[in-house]
Amino acid sequence: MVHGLAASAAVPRGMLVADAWSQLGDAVAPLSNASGRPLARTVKLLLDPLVLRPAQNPRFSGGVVAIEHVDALRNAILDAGPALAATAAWFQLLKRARRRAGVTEGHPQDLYFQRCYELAHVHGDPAALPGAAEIAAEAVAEVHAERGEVSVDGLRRFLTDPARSAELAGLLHDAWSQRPEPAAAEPHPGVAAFLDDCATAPDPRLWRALADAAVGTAEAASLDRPGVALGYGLTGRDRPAAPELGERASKRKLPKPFDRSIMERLFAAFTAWFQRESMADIPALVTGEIRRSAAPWQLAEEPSRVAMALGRDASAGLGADEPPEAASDANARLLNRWRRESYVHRVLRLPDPSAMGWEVRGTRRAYMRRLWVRLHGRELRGEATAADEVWDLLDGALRSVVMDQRDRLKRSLEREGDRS
Amino acid sequence: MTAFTVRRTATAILVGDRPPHPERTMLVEARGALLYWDALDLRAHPAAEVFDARAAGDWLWEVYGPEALTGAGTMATEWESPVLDAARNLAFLHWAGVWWPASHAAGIPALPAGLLRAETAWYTAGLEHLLDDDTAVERALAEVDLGTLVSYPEAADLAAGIADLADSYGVALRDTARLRPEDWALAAGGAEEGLAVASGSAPIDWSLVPARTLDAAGEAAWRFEHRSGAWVLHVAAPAAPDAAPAALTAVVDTVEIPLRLDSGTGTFTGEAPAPPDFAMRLGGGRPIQVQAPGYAADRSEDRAERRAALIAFARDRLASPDATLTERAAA
Repeated sequence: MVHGLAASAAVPRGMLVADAWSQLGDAVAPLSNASGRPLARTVKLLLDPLVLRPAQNPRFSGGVVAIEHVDALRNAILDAGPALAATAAWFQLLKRARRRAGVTEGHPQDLYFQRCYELAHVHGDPAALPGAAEIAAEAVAEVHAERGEVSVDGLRRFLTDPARSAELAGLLHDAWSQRPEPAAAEPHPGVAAFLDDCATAPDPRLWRALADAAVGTAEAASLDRPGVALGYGLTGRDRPAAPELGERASKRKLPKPFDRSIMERLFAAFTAWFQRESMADIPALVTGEIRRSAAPWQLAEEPSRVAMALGRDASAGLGADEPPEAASDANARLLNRWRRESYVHRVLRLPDPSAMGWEVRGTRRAYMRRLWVRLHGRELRGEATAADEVWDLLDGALRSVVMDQRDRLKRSLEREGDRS
Repeated sequence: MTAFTVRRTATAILVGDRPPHPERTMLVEARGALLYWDALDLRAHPAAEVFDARAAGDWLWEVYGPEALTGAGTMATEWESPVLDAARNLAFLHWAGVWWPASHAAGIPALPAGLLRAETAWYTAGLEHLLDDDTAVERALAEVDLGTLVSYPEAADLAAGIADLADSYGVALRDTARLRPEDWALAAGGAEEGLAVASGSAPIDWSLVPARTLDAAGEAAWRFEHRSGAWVLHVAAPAAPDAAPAALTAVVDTVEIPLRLDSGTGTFTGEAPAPPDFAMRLGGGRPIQVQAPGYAADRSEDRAERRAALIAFARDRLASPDATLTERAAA
């Protein structure tokens, strides 16, 4: 295989999975793309967590699989063939039920794949099952009912209930007045070390050590100094201040993260992600958010705070006229993505945003905001971040900022056209 | 057989070279690598810049084959796969969406935009497992309008496939029934003409304007004339077939003239009062350039040849047996 990309006694995992998958035939087509490969979410939501389970089977983890485990991996997928075929058949039924019920919310693969896998285990192949269509309709109704309980309306009612507002305002006041005095600390050498390896060989022990040493909390100490959080783009104020509880929120005009009301913080997460079944109920969400707002980086979990500190360092120089020399491998990779983007702009015949008077120097601030929003969302959904997910998170935030910028450029061209 | 040199830099593994100019570049942004084909040097396999070998290792074999890239310095491959085909088609459609040289002057029809978007979404979905953007399919589907497909009977399978994709990705497709865009007849003249005392023209530089605006082989023309007691500069630049409105600016000497699309005549036109000293400087023919903000001028010597070559390439594609549905519908 690709010279130097893989050890010779190993095979790319993607190749093994594709090969085994193709032997499952047309029965799994609903879980495949038009090239016959498993969908990205088929791998992420079904094959990895339910069939290959790399956490339990380290021999199946990583980008390459050693020669001696090739047959075992293939057999694991082939053994799951009937269950996957039934899952695929259920997915077709759930999609149909969803369409019939007029549901448009959320991503069908995210919402139904694992549910379909359960149905496949409980009922087998739906083709042979009388009443399968009803079961599918119930499953769709259930998924959306679970999500309906924690609704934006419910949130608004809870936050604006006069009987509760004094209590909530008190909680907010206490949380902010009892914030511990931030202790300044020397920069931890582990931050740079982790950034050097996180894209290629993330070290889980170092990742845990950074959280155990509360490095994220220590790195948040400077945020209360005038202009620091402002410089990161996390607030429009000179220093962060306690948020409002808030009464309304609109997707279009969300303030910067630290300036968002409690309502706006939860609202943003509700509308951006459709996995409310993994969220707590409303009272717990609100009190949790109040506490979170007063915490370092305004995030509740230490690993999220470490990730903010990592993102801050990894994004240094993004959008600068002349970026400084990269301070770490992760920093170099993000700067490279940014440089590639201006090449891609020319290939896609998009105008140069800096020549259009756009504030590209704000890219790093946009990056910090996007990263915060993603970490905040992960906290609300109760998703832990493992060492080998950190790079995807750091890189994914920049990709998302860059793609949004492309969309805005395209839209501005169309608008110019309409105006003329 | 495709052969490339393989080089390593501090940040990437380079397989072959980037195409030398943006307008020749057919790009796929994959996870951990950019793949590119050169419109004027088309090969079966793409050149690549692998910037994240770990991420790309998962799928590179689908493009080059498992045995390729084993030799140091060079690699050669005859690998074929549905993924490679989808990547080539997607790269082509990305290129065609922005650089297709539609031109009345050169007789290159516009590509049907609705069909192009639908086909782009289809091949995007075929590659979703290796694309850099993990929301690429949703993004591509959001651009599709099912209504634009109804007038193409040959696209019935594509439309069904797109509808199924939309169900699988939870995207509500737009569906505004529209008629097939009619090619305009090239209208003649139009506006009242004054007494022209000087005029000039120059080939359009298409790297200076957005896609689907100017005729790729057209010439922008200016006229300095006296009309109703005033001196004016009048500019006309032929629009591409099926052009979209855009805010373009013509620059003649030091005068900037905003242009508007006049869809009746298929021309971007504009007028501005000429400065009093314009007539003094008329000797030696004033150059004209049409541009949009944010686009840099291509000053290279060979740009006229490159443009001609790309027009020839587009003409060949229209007659090619492996043309996309989009091109066949345009031809």
